[in-house]
Amino acid sequence: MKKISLIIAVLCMMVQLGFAQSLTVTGVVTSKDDGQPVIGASILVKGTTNGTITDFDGNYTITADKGQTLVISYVGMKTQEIVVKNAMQNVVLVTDAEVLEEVVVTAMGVVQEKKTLNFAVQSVDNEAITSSKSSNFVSALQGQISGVSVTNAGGSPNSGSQIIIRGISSVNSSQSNEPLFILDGMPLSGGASSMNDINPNDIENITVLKGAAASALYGQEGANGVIMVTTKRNSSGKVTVTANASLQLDTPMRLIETQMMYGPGALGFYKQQTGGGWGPMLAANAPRYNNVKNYFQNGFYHKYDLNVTGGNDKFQGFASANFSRNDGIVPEDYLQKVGIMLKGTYNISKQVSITMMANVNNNQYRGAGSISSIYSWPINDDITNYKNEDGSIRFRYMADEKANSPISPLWSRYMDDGKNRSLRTMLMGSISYKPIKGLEFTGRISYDSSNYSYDGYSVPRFDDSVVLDDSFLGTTEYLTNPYLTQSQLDKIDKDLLGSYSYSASRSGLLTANVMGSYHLELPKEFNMNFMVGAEARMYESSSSALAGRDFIIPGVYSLSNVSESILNSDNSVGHRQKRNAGVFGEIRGDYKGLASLSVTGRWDWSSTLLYEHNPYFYPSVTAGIIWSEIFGISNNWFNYGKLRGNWAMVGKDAQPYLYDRKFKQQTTFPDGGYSSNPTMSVASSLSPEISTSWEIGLELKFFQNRTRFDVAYYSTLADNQIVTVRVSPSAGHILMTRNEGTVKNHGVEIQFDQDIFRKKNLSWTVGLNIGLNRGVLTKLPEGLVELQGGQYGDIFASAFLGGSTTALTGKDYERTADGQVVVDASGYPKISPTKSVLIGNRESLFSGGINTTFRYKGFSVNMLFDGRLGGDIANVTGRGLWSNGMHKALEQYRGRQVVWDGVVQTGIDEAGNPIYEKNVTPITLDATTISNYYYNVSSNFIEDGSYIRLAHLTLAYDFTDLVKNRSKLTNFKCSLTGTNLFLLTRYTGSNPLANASPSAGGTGAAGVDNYSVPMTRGFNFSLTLGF
Amino acid sequence: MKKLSTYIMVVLVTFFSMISCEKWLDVNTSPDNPTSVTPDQILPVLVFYTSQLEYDHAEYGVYLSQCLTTGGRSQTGSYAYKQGWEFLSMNRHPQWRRHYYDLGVNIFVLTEEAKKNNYRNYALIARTMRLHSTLMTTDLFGGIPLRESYGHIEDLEEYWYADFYEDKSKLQPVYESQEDVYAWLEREVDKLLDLYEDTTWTKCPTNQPINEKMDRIYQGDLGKWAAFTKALKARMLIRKLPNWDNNAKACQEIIDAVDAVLNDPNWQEPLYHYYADGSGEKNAPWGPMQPVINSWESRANLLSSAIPSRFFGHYLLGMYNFSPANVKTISPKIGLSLDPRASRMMSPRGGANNANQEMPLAFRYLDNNKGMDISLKATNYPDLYGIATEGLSILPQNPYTKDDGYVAIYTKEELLFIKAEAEYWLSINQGRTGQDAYETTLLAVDASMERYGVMAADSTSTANLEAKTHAWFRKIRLAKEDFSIATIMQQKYVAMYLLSEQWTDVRRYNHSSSTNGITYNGIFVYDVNKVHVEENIYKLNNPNKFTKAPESFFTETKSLTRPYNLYEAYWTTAINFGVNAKFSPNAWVHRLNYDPETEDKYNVEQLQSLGAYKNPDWLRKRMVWARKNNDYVMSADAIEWE
Repeated sequence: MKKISLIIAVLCMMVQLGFAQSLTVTGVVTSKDDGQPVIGASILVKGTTNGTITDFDGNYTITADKGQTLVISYVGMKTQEIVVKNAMQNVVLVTDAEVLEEVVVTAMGVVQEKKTLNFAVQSVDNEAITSSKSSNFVSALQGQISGVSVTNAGGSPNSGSQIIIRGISSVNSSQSNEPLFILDGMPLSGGASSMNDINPNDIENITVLKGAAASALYGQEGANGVIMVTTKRNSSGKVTVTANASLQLDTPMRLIETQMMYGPGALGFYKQQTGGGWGPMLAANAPRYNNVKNYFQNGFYHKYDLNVTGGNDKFQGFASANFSRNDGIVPEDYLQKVGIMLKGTYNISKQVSITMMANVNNNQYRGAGSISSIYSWPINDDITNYKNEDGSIRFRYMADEKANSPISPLWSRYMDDGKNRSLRTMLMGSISYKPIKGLEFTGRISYDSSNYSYDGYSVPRFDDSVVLDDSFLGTTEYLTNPYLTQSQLDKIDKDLLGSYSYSASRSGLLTANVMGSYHLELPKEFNMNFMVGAEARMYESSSSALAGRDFIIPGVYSLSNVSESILNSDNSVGHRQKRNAGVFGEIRGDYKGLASLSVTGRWDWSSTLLYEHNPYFYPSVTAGIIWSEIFGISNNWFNYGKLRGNWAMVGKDAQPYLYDRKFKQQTTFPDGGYSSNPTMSVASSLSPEISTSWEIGLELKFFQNRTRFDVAYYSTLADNQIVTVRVSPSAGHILMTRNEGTVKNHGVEIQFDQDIFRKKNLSWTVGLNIGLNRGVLTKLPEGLVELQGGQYGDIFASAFLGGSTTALTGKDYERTADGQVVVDASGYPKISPTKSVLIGNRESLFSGGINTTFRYKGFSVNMLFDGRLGGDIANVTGRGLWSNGMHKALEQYRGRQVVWDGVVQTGIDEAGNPIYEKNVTPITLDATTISNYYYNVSSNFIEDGSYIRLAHLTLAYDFTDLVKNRSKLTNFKCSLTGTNLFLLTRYTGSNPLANASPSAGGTGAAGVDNYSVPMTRGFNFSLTLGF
Repeated sequence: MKKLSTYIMVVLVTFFSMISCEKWLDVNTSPDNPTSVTPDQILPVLVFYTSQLEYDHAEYGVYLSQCLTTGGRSQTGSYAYKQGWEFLSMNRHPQWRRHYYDLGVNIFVLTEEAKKNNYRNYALIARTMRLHSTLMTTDLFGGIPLRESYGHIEDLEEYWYADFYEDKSKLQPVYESQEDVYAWLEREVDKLLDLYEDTTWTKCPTNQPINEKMDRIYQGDLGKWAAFTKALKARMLIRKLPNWDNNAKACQEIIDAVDAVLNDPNWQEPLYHYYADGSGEKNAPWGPMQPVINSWESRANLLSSAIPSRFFGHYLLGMYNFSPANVKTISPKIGLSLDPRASRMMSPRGGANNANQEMPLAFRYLDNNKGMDISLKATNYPDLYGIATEGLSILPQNPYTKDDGYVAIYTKEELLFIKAEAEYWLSINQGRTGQDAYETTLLAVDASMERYGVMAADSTSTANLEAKTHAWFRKIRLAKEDFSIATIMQQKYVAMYLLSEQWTDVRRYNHSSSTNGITYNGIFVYDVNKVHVEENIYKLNNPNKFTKAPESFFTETKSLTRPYNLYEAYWTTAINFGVNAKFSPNAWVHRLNYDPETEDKYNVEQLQSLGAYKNPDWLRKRMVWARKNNDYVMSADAIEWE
């Protein structure tokens, strides 16, 4: 306990600490390649545990006796040994062509040389993560890692995002397909959206474990891959302080244009009580407003970081703090964050060390809300005119049902309020014990907790302090005041008289694991590693909500000032609990690191499966051979060749609480009572979902490793899928969760890196990655052809039997065998009566990115292009524009005669097949025709989502060399970054990376653009100073 | 160091002992949901769902029988039954779920719990509700899952005394034919009536008392539930007429079934009342508050935007518009229609609110799905809640459309109309002209008039317009010399306004009208021959205030017709339903499709074997009781009959 207190005290006082050590040997470690200092190189007095690492400038100090040997090592460089002769000894390290640069942190925190890994792993460093200036590091991965797809809900700072590796493995909407995130060995809860709580500037490195073999040891949570985040490490040496500030201006891009010719109405007639644009053509001099453009504003994002690192051979610490505020392009849409991270390592003895980490984030935000109404706001009314001169609400018109009278959405943005607050605390402690050489025990306990609350109100739309007589109905006075008659008041949604709501939730994920590993060196350079471990995981959450409506005293927005308080339907409490346990082990062996083989196994227990299905076992086998070395065929131009392969299984359990029939209290029914709850299915006999995968990969390096090539083919079969589906109510359920269906994913990933220049003052590297995945739903119960996800009008995100796991289904026209639309004799297209026709595939043919960095002395340019070919998007927003008479194309087509592109049946041939001829009969494209023959056919709104984007361009200059001799500055950099500077796409909506619901599991909602906030173009200036 | 090693060992042992512990994993029962329930808690929900089932059927039926329409003219949309009959895209007909889930599952759970406690009274009531629900469901969809549906109990008595219940439910249950469902219904109703006579059931000492909070309809009175069961038998038997089993024996059986109810002192109309001072929902589903339960599968009444159809408003009720020139100064509510019930069912309203185009109060109407004139709004058409009458005292309202009104699960007038219809066909079968059917029809109409609070007919009244209008109505519509099956069915149509039997009757008579050329006993059942009196109709105290019924009343063909703007892919091209659209009996919707969201996906094989899978023609297939099975029914286009 004393020791722990000591660590905390040291962390808190770190900045004030000085580290005065008696120096025997000092020196600078530099790289032969570029002459730059090597930061973090290890210096060890041979045969002892006395060691240190180099600081930010490559300096080291260590006590050693004359004649002792110092071992200087650094990842990717040849280890050097020097004999201590005097007090000043500089060292120059050279790149190791054999070892290369790679050691990576793999499953369960095991550090392994990459050359002995036999599965696909890709890493990105801090620079690659922060150069895009994304507040969420996950967004920065799009285009940088092959086989990874990142989509987002739009351009709001509060828009969620989703990351999928190697396609959808579960088609069940309640199963997440996002990978497991590990922060410094600590499993985190949540998907990509919740990674917003990790400060990108704190990250040292991200490793993506793609296949099941890579993540088999993590158990079911790792079935979709693992993203391992390593934060900046503790370092010993003098205290360094780094500060960073960045300012960013965001502007809306690709705003949707509406028609600017027609006013509100119906069938071409002006009608007072309508919106949209189906009214008459406006007079040439009539005022027109570009309401979509006027609704948005420029966004502003500013962020400030400060981090401190330092320590000695006993203590190493890292502390950081950050503040940011991001005001979005939607008024009053903001995200304000404050984060603190503390991390320290205490070497208690030669055998025992303790590491503790605390990462705390406090966020305050308000979302962008729905923006759908801006697209139907009539062009002859100014959406920015949301209140009258006296400050009262401006109704666009007073409807017959007064409650339906429309107001500008800006009224709600500016007058209502809603504060979301979240506090995320990530705590981790680990202890490592090395009793003898090669043997290590590690214990780790972590707790990831979130506390969330919402506090909001909407101001009254109507005033109930005065009740009108019915004789007012329809009078001019009635049409201009906010009062209602008694019968209207009785019936009105009381939220329109003002409402207040409060909700709170908390969740916690406690994970504990213990692990023992033993490294055994065998004769003739054979190595064996043994590892066993156990893990327990406990997740708990709870939520509660309260609400009230109809404020009594005007202007006081509080729950104590409502006349209708806390109805039963407003009052809810929910709990969720899940427990998992696992034991696992690995045996790994290699010969000189040139040929390696490993076997893993894991048994899992889950509280969501009946005990008879516990535990479930899954193994993996990996093997690899560096044939260029084994067969001695490397030469001047061909340096490295490796073949790797693996096979693995991973199990997945179910969601909690599926054993029992539940009953629901029907408080809103006339006499209350209980009835069966239709939304809670009963599934007490579920067995785990099992994925089986294999992968083969080839790695090649040429020209002194300047050219690097990695290609992998993988295939995954996820069988026994746990899916929640609608069933016939006659079967006693509305929804039912059961084991059915098989999903197959297979694909190719290519990574190509080229160092065009690699000089001390000049370097230019280009990285290309390409991933293609084919996800196919290969099996469903007899008769079933699809599993539907989200519904958007008649369009469904869907997994379609024999087709894509990310398909789109909906209505289509009747078509000939070769796909032409069948038109009737009158010239109108025929609509198929089938509701779920396969009309699209959201999966791309391939996607990829090109990342290039050019450096000349202190100047650098970094660019990331990403893109994809194919991948359909359901443009639900565009569909709404057609429905409301607001689509830009209506300027050209409305009221015109058009000939539908299709064929007409003119007879039947001798074989009984229909004979078709090209349709030539014109029809008039009026509101009714559009409604009946265009808007109602889902396939009209499926668009090609191919795109190429310049995701970011960063120009940076490092002034450090210019100033370091003149000031105390050890780091001085400036950068200018532009994001989304260029986008080429055939998609007509705003965002080809749209995802209508990033948190959706199963087939998900990637590729559905449902009134998303437009994407933004940003210009960022960033300044970094180090002391 | 030793100490540390000990700690590590303790942690390791703790872990391993923990994960081997079954109890540690036993956290999979939700703390937020009860997993069992007592019968007294589930019964009020079932009784409510029974009334809701009636409402759901009526809410669809009132549009499908072309009694009401809406102001739009869309071929497609969320509510196919109000628009162009494009049903195949429409999910979640509430009636299906109501029968199998809301009622079916919960009836089974209640019965199981009742059996555990030997509460036989609960079981009898639950079983009666299942009988009622099964009858309505098969009459809407045709063949349905029965024995393989969840929790099916073939025979209550057998189940009660058995130690073991064999659950035959399947995820993809077989759809049984409508004939088989009816065979089971007939056995079931007789079995239930036997049990209601058995005191070991009705007077069982372990029966738990049931109060009004549990049973809002009969307060657990088994005598009343028994009488209702008898009434259900009469409703079931009337299906045999006029097509299925139209003979003297069947007619007599129906008459006897009705008499058994009317002669039962326990008979009381099963009305589900809503109380302003009740707990939970206080408003009737047809009321102006438009309550909706569980919004995702239920439909609120949209009477606020509904409009009386030409057939219902103009032809059957005799509603019409005043000429503006005559009536700027008068605002009568009564006298704008031949049928005095019109003024109780709804209120006339003014025209467009425009100084140059002011129009007086009128009972406007609209052809089905034709779309209203651009200058008009739904609020220019009658207020179907019957409350918004400018400057007039409010008449007693339609009891169904008041917030504190009720849902009628069965009415006295329905019983009388069933009897009248059976008496009519009995006389036809026996080759005689019967007085009894006419007399019973008058009683039925009187019962309906009484429900709406209409004053007794008085042709001599000079002070009371309603009494005089009532007299005109009887003279025109209930003239003995014109009496036929058309009189009975048209009057039943009016009496069944906002009740589920309205559409069933229209389908039983195959929309018989001059439009499709189908006659019963040579009569177009839904053609109206006399719409109004050919004299000045508003001439009471003030001789200056009068007008005459419009000429169109006497010149138009007044027939039930299909709606306008039907979905073209299914309904308007000849290839879809025969060579002669106008006269084809197949040109009408006869049933609802099975839910595309569930049945289309999970029971494809059954649907395919029925021919119902994604097949718009399935909608045209008649119920077993509407198929031509005798020569009383004739079609102008007989080839297209099947």
